[in-house]
Amino acid sequence: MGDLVLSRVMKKFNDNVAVEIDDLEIRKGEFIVLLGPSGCGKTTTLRLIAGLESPTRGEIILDGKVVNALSPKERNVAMVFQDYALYPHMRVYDNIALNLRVDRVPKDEIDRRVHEVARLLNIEHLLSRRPRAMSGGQQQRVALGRAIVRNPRLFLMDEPLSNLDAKLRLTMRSEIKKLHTRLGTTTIYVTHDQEEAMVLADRIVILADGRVLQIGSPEDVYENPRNVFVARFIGSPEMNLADCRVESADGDAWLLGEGLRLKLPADVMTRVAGRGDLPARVVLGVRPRNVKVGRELEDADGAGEVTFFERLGEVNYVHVETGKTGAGMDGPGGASDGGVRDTAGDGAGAGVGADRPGTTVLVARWDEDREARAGEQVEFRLDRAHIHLFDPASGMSLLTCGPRSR
Amino acid sequence: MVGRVGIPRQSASRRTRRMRAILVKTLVYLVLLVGSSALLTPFLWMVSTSLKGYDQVVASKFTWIPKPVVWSNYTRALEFIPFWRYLGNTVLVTSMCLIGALSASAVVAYGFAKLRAPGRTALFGVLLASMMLPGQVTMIPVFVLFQRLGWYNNLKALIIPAFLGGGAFNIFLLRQFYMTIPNELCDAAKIDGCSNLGILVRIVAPLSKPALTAVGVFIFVANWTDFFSPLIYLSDQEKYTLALGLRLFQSLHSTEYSLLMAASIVFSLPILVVFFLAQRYFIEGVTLTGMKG
Repeated sequence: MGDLVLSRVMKKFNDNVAVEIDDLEIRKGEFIVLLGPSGCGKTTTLRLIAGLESPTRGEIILDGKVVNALSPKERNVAMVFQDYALYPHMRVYDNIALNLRVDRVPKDEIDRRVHEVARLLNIEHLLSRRPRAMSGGQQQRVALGRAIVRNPRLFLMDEPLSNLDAKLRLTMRSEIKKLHTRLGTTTIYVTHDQEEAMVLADRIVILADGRVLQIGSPEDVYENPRNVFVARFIGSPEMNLADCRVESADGDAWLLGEGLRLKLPADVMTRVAGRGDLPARVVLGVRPRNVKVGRELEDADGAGEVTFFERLGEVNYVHVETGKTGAGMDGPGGASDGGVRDTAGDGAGAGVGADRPGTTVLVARWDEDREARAGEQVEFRLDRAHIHLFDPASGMSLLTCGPRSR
Repeated sequence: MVGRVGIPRQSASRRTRRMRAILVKTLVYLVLLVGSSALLTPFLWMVSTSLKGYDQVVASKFTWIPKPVVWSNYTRALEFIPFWRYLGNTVLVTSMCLIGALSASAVVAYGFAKLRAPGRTALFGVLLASMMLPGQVTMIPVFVLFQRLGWYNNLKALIIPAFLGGGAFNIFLLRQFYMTIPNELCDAAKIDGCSNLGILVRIVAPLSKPALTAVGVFIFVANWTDFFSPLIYLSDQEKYTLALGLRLFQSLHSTEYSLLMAASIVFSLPILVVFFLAQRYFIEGVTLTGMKG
């Protein structure tokens, strides 16, 4: 049993269900990130765990005990808020000391602990300042200090880095990670930034519309997204998705999309869930790093025209519009006819990146030293080991487990 | 040095603009001067009269400067009524009302501003509506009630009501101010282990000092100068407050205006002092919401 369990928890505001979590177990010492777009219920979930909201139904179990009716203090949780929520009329020292004072900790012990935490966070010289006289980064540290000083059993962090500038965010990110390694306190961290989630989390909980879509290690959710939403949300740039028809010829399954034609290798077929049948249409997903692009490739899966070259410095990307070149892409070796005919992509919420009918934009990593020119004709090949197949209707993954499954 | 080239050529338009600014300022000051002197005149008249002898008060020609200056009006005035006793009563009533009404309205306003409860909005509407109700309407039932409780001719009748809510307007004012304090601060305090009372005392009240000061001054002035309630509830002369004492004074010496004015000035002094002391706070104003740096 986990350290913290949410069991069939539901929270309604008026008549709107904000959060509905059937089962979430968090182990002691874990760093859990609740990840999702804004309005997905991640902050509400955090506030439920904190005890700032009470669930409409369900149980929140902390260390084997139902804590629904307990106050935040009785749960012994600490929280870092998005806007830090430092008390503006108090000095930093008093901000950090307040919760110890409320607990009637002896004065000299308060003093010792406040200084200890201040030293840990490098804010000892700020103790007599007021919050307004400090930079965002310093306020952030004070907020962390206020949380750490009482040795809580849970750290809750609500987008703590979102008000910092990009560079400071990276610094604080690694500091939070180091702090967690050092203190080992179970931490639940809310963010909408998938990169932050990937860097920090032991496990990521991906939420959308108040429901858990997937729980897994960063590697797991990256490699084996359970549905289209997760696939698109994790990873930057986004995973490419293309509507495809499935046709079989000579016992092989072929995927046919706009300007793209590839034979599914046998090992992918063995991973297809159920009886190994693919529906007539699927959504093919592949990450930009798993698409090889070049002027002429052996065994190309398709070809297209470069529309945009994206220079990021470290890595560069090209946007390729597929289906713009004509040549011979319309059948699996001219065999079995009568497959489903194309009726202009309808990915059923899969949000396939079709700019205009008959084309699909494919983003790929550009490994050549030279810059790609817009208008250039290229060929591409997808890394078979890293393709994903989703059901266009439900958006769910059709593969049982991913390529690098554990 | 650098600017020297520009000075002689300072454009005409800029000069007229500055002239206009001076003109506007002069006008504003003029209006303020007229307004304030209109308001101050009665007060000056009171000061002047309080220092006049009887013959000067009734003289047909009015003079601003008393001649001679009769300081003894003040000592005589304070001896004519049991001034110190009345002052004692007034201080007791006013300070108890200040404590009662200020703490009650601070607590009730916190409820309206920060606690979620069904019917809260409707209840607040009722509170606002009660502000529209003139005191005279409820006067008789309240009087009967207090009399049955045995509070007639007792200072309790003036003090205890202050602890029961603290006044709709005060609640309204504080509630509006509390609303500007971010809820996140209250959440943070809750996480830090504060109860609602703890949040009010440690976080909300210190951040609402200007509003609390203003409400405190209102309560002080209202009770210090309250004439009506002491008049209907108190019958023994030794229980009188100063406001009532002044009237007593007036009926005994209806023609001795100089003594009445002297007593009135002494009566008004604490109000002036309180106002000047508190001024700093509510002029400091509403600048306290700083969450981010």
